[in-house]
Amino acid sequence: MSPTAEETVTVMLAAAGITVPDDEKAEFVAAYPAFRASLDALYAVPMSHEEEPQLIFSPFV
Amino acid sequence: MTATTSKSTATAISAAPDGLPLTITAAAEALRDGTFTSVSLTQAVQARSDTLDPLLGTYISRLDEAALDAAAAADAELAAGVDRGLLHGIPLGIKDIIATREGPSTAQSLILDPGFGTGPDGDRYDAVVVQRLRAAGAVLTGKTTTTEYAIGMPDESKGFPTPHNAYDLDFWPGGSSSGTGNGVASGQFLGGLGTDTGGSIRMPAAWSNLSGMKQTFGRVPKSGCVPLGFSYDHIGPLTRSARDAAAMLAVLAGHDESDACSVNRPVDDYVGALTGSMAGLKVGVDLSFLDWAACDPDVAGLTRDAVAVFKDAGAIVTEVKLPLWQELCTATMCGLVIEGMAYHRGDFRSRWNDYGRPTRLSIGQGMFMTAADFVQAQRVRRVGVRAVTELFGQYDLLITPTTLVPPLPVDNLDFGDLIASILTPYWNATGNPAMSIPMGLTSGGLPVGLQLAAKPFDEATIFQAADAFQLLTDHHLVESAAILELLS
Repeated sequence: MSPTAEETVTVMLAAAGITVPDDEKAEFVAAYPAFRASLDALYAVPMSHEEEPQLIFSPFV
Repeated sequence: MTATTSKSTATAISAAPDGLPLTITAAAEALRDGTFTSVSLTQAVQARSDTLDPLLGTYISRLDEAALDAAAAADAELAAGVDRGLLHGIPLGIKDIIATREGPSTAQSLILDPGFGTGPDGDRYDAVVVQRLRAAGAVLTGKTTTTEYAIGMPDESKGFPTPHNAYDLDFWPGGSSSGTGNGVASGQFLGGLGTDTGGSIRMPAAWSNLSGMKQTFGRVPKSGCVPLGFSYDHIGPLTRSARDAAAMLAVLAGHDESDACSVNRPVDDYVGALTGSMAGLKVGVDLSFLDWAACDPDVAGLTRDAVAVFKDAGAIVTEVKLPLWQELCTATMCGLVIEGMAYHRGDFRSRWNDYGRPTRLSIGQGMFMTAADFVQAQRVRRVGVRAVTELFGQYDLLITPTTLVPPLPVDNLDFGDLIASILTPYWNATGNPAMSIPMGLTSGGLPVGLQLAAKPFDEATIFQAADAFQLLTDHHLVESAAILELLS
């Protein structure tokens, strides 16, 4: 069973080590499903399985 | 306060009692024909700020004394025959996330280290773009308001000014380059620097009746600027006319190794590209946005009117559909918050409540993305760059409205509503140059803009078309009746 938005937000806030007021956590929870859906849509973009990211590592600085 | 007064392109002089030139180009002429000196011009804009800044929330800090010193130096040089070009002696504003040697930058935040913009020797330094403006003889009048860290919304709880729209003070000028926008629109300076990570130059340009250029990513060095999204950030000009923006970008553009993203390639002659013609340019127009439920009818009508100007001027206009629209906007908005999260996590842990609520709730979204999500966003950007490159094989310019709606009421701003109303983040994902130019006022007297995008490093074609458009229209020279009334 997938975790709920509240469970996910709670875990990821804890992982980041950030404490927020309850009302702001509630806003994050409310926004999370749409945010997650917009991210999931990025995986539906047709592309080569081997497509590289646009940010390319360079050994020079 | 929504009525307007129009001036002809030929005069470009304010109808206010101070007779201020409306554009950098007109001011440069006035400095050379003796109508103004740089000192008298600077004093005139400072007098405007005495009246307008408390009402418009333009400045975080004014640099009155330093500006007058720079103006006196410009006058002395011009009198001695030393002419540094169009920006010599011209008052400009600088967004307060860009380092200047006169004093601390705030990013409109309680969080930013007061030592930002200080070198190892303890002295404050100028960002590269500020160095270039000074070398061109510009007069820097002050540091302008933004939204905190160039994201979020106005938040008076932290003690910073709330910017108001110069065309109707009940509305917001757009952001995050808000003070640069309303400052140029109200004649408190004649041009200025903004930054654009998802639209923060083009949105205030559209909503403050200005020309605002987000050039190709890497064209202008961004070192010395507080970052928001490292791979999306740009510093660029906001001015009344496209010609003025071309003159500013000509000074700002060029490689500097202090910015890892700076691209080393020649800078085109942007002012020389202003032929006054757009005949034969191949223009793709995406009008599908006008059918969206969120699109304001006046925005739709003014967009169609603007497209008709292009057609009448001989551009070859074809309707197109921009590929991967939603996905590339997501790649910008989600990518910039996770890049911002990397920068802010330490302060979020210890000083969450010192951030403004809109800032912590927007950048804080970066906590809820995975590393794979971020990499996938970058893969989508690569696919998107390929798709728009293919489209630009057929067109010189791609056009949309800049926003779906006119400016938002300043006392009822919502970050989600704002993001849903702008058509700008797409070009931050791809890195193409994109500019907003005025396309008229709504029936309520509020400005809106038209967005022109081009191939990477082809800013010259955008300037060419925008300047030709402005020779055929006078939208960009329409002053705010509200400001004229306040100055009368």
